[in-house]
Amino acid sequence: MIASRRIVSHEIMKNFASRCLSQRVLVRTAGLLCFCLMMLCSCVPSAFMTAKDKAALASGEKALVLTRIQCTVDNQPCAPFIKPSFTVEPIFVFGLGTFETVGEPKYAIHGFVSQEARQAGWIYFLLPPGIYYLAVLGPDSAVISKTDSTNDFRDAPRWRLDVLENTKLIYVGSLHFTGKTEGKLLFGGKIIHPVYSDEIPLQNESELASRLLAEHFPAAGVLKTTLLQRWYPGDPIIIRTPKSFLRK
Amino acid sequence: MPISNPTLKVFLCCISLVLVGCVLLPIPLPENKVLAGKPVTEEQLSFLSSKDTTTQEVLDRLGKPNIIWEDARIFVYNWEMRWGILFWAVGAYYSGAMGMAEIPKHYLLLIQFNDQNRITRFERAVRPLTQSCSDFLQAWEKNVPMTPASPRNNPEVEK
Repeated sequence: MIASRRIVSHEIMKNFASRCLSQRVLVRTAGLLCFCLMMLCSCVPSAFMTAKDKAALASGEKALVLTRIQCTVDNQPCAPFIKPSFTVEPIFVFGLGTFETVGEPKYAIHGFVSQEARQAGWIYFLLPPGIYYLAVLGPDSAVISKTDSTNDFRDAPRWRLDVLENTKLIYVGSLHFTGKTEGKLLFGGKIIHPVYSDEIPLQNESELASRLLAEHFPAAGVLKTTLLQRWYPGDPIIIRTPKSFLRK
Repeated sequence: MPISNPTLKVFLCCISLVLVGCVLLPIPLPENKVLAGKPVTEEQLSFLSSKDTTTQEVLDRLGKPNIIWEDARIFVYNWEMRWGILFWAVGAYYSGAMGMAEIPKHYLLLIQFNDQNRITRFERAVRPLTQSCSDFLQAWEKNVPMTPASPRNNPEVEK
């Protein structure tokens, strides 16, 4: 009687131990999945070109608008588009004012032609012909929390860019931003704040831009350079009806 | 179980309102505070009534417009007046918050020109809070009737 009881309790214990082990594996897997999800969530949506984008570019429906962002923090060169991870946040986001928003910048997703181009600070927007207002927020370690903020974009430095009809590749200039560090974050990252000034340097690197796009879009034709025009509060907002509205 | 006592019903209703705890009270005030932009008065508009008024004359008298709709040949001057204040209070259990916010009234002066840069029509209008600026401008450009804030002005018809 006692022996049978012992056997039963031993089996129960064995089953319990095996269940605990499988539960541990489950918990670990769930933890790993959670971590991966957090890693993904920490990324700002930025894209490499899809087949749909390439088709829009080839048909002339949209133009590839290329710009370069350069940055110095505490007078030292700083990579503006480090690949975000759980502990590394992006330091630049962009807003675009359109006909629909009457020039008021709203968060816009930028893309990278390649990983090398990303490291060198080259970004692009795919835009149908029209007049746009580009607002740049950064370098700022808290910039990710400002993507929905109309006021932050409203106060950010803004430039007008004109996307003309029948143009597939446009280079609008290279912008140089400065920032300063003010302490450290929990995981060791720097707290960076932007230093805005009335005159943000705009450089013409059309030769570099031309070489970069010729490498990736050899069939898209010649690159057109139309430099950004700085817009200051009080200047008129110029809008033009997009083709899609004229068709309606 | 159905509640039959009417006093209890009222009491429960009051309690639920207090628990949900949200009060919004708009208080209209005289429009004497400018929140944004530079107001354009009716008197300033008298020179627009002539169909000979040119783009340059408008720029000289009223300054640079806030919005230029290039292909529609429309100038827009906009400004915001304080219509009133919104008193709000939110409360639940032992905590709550309250405050006040200014309610803006969006005024626009819209002027359309023809190919010879002369005025075809103008209007001093109020944009509803629920309508976006873009929608409002498109409706005006298509000559869709607006809220009757001010009469439409068409110099060519008047003369």
